[in-house]
Amino acid sequence: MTNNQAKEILQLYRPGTADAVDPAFTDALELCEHEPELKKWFGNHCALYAALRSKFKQIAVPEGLKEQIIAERRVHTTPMWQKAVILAGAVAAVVMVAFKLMQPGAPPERHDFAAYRDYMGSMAAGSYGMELNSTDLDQIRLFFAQKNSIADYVVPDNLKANAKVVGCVATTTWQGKHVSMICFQSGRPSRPGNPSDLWLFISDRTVAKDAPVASNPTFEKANGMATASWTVGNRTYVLAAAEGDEQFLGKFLPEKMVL
Amino acid sequence: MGPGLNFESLVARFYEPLYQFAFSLTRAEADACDLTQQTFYVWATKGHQLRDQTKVKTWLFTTLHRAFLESRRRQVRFPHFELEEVPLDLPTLSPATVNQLDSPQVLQALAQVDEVYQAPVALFYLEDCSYKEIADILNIPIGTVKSRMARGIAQLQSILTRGEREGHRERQND
Repeated sequence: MTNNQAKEILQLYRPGTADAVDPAFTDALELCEHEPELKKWFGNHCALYAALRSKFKQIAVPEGLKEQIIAERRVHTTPMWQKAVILAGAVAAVVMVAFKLMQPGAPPERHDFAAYRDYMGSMAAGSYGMELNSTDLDQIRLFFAQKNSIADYVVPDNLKANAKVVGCVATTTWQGKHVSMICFQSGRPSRPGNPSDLWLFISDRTVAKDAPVASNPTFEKANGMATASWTVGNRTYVLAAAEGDEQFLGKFLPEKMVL
Repeated sequence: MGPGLNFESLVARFYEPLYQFAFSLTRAEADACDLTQQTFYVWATKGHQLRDQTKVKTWLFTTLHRAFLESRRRQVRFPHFELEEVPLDLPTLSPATVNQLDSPQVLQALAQVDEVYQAPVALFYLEDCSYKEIADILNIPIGTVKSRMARGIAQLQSILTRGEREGHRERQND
């Protein structure tokens, strides 16, 4: 091995690391012991490595990053039983879609707002996996933002005051569009296996061409659910209740909407 | 998460080196924070799939690097060229010169290094990973790791030497 060959190998040598026992460097390191010029070059290489390493190691980590990472993990954690529910729901959905696709002469897919509302009603009535259990609306908004779902919505004050938020689902979509789903408990006795009886769905107002254009609510039944729908800004809201009527839903709507 | 691996202690142990690696790649605090957070998020959701817990560090760095490449891919395609065609230059940079620089200057120089060499160079200086681990992190063969490192280090030192010469000339003109 020549000195130049040894330099080529040793330029990747990192002093103070496992490279000292890496066989790839053994011969070149040994040659250093016998070649003064190579030894001098190697000494300079080690000093230069240490100097540059110290500059990289000086990169300052922002304060609070560790705490933020840990806090986010808490937000994202989903208990195993919920994962099982989500999985079961996903499997059921796939089976249902496959079944529908196999049916001859299946009606064309509907794109109108009634179809959207029906779908959300059936989702609330059926089995969905709560992705975040939380009684904190700020935490829920953060969760939606992290999941790239809709997070710039306004929860009516009456809904906040008269119902208890229990969680949310961020991965709901309607024909490729995100829908944020917030689950509430109205205070009535809850059904077994479902802590919610009131759901707020938030979508973009372009979710359907005939989506409501006004902040005054439209009341309709959707898959057995009582619903109120309205639009404020570029967001369209559907509030669905497992049981009840316009008067019941009115308790949770913004003041100006209350009938 | 695997048994014996507490999330909080894992974060405490690795968030700084991961952030430093991310920052050396992005040179932007917000992007480096995002990459670091994303890495631990992926760990929280998929880390349990890792059977060999001695490879946690490699797993985390691999995940961060993939996330970085993914974000870069969305912005711009890497220029492709044959590595063998890049001449190996061995500049003469003294430790004393480097000692006069500050960390941002060195990172600025790294930013001028060909992009494909930046991650290997950052890992060369930042981490004590073995070359096998670095190869796993970057998902390239060890031979390629070494050739990219050698060329990247040569480029970095050349850029720093050039900067030193220009600074010297400016001082003389003053």
